Amino acid sequence: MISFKNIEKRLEEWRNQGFIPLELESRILEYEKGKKNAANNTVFILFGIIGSILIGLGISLMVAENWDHISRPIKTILAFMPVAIALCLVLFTLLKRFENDAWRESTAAFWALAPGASISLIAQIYQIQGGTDGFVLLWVAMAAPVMFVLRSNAAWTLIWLGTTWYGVLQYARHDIGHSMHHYWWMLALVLVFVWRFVLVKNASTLFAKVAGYLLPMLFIPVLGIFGLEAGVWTFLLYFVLFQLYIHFCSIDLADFPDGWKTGFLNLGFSGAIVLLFVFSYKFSMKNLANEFTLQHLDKSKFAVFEIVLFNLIYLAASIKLFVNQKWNFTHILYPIWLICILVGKFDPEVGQLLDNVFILVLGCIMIWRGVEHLNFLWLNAGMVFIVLLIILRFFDFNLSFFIRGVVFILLGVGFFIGNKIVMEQKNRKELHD
Amino acid sequence: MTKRNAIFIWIIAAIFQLGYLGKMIWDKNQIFYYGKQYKFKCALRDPANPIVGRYLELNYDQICGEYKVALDENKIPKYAIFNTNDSGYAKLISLDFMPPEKSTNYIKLEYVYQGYLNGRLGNIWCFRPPLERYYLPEDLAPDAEKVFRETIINSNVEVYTLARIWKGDFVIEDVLIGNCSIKDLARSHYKTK
Repeated sequence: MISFKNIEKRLEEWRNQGFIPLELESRILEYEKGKKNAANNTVFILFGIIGSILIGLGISLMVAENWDHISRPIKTILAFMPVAIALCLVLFTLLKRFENDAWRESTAAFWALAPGASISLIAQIYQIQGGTDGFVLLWVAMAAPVMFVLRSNAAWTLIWLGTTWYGVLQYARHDIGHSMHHYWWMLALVLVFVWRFVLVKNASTLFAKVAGYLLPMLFIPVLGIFGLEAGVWTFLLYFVLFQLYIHFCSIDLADFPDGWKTGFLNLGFSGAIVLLFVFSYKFSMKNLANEFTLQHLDKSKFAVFEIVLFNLIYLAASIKLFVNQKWNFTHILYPIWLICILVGKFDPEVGQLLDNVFILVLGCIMIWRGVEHLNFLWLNAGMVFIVLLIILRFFDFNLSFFIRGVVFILLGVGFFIGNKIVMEQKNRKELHD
Repeated sequence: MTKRNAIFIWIIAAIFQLGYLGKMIWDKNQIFYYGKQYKFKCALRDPANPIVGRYLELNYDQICGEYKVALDENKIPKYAIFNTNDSGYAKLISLDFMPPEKSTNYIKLEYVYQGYLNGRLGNIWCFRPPLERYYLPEDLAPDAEKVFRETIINSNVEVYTLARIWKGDFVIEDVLIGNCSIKDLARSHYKTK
């Protein structure tokens, strides 16, 4: 990357040589200066947020030390300090620095963490009982207004973490009667913020890209809650969810910002591939495919409702894609996996074979698409799938070391040749253009 | 959102945050003031929590009591009403589905499970006192666990939690070995190292 100083020098040289007029030089300089300032501002915001988070966590850790030599009333006053300081800082930001992104994000991160420190301190002083889930719930409830008051992406990310953490904790303790009703309003707040400040404003920022990953991740750990009683049907729920993520990227529901959907696509595709690999094992197909019975579904009415709803959405979205001629191979991962499972239910070995063949074909399609569209990501991902499939199958079959060695050499050569072909074609295309 | 709306939400958030923290403290002080003191025999160990700090995890024997309505009306008891025996230890008087009107000496229970009577599940309901955590300074917590272990190996001294109970809630005042606070014992153990 050329530095601003170098650009300045180069432009001066070109002007002196008579290649560009003075007006063009100053316009380019103005443009580059704007880019430099924006980059500096982003760095400043990032470091401000990191600094605030570190200070907030530092206070929490100092609190955890539990000072024994301070009297209870003094400790009680100290317990209010993190929140009181944060409130004062936020009021100052609201009145004097509201337009300064770095100030807004830094104070928001500090304010979001401050209630956690205060709750911890009071819990220590007054020996308040309760698990981590209760702490996270109270902290999120107290910190949630922060993201709306300061329109803060950093606060949203912290609330997102808290919500996911709470969901996972409740998920883990669901069997002993922990209900999920608090999770829903936490989730609603997270979604409302994204809708209000990212989607409606169509903000194509770095945050929009980050939120594009964080938001689909929010649903992944908690989806299993409904599947707890539904047994292996949970796998089906997850597969439909991943497939819906992929569909979501291809349908123009609204004028969403650039980069927003990439997270959904990458997570959806990766999740679907992981599940395909899970069922490529003989063990999984033999033991899990048999479990797809209606008896397991009887125990969880909500899981049935969710399976039906997800499948209906999948069908509707698929029809829309088909009509709009946006159909491609990534949209049929779910039905093909379903066929593998259905076959595996009657004959696990055939089901496993089908699943393996499907991964192999998928890898080949990706390589072909990579070569066709001159896309290194598709090409290498396709090859990685095939390599992974072969490595995993090595554990199932008793092949000699010689054969394994030959296969690995061939795969290595394939990697080099594939990348070389794409590189050459890309260079040729660039030259041609 | 306009700046005016943001300031309005800030005011509500400030009242909520400071008010809730204040209420937590007020509620516990009420128990310190009005609550009746009970002893609960306990065992302990020292885990650590990166968020809330170092504490002793207190374990108790299960306490069981009869509650006949439970099986008839499918109601699980949620409140345990206590009294003290001659030594000041907590003694279960009764279990109830609703908070008792005549007494303030009860705690709200989170987990209650059905117990066995004559080899069969009966009208017996059991729980462990929910006084599970006793926060200690970082440097003293490991020594407290050592003192406890050394004590139970070498003597029959009683280890118990001293807590105040009032209207469903409680507050732990101290954990004692014999008549000495575990904090003092851990501190002297720490100094002799």
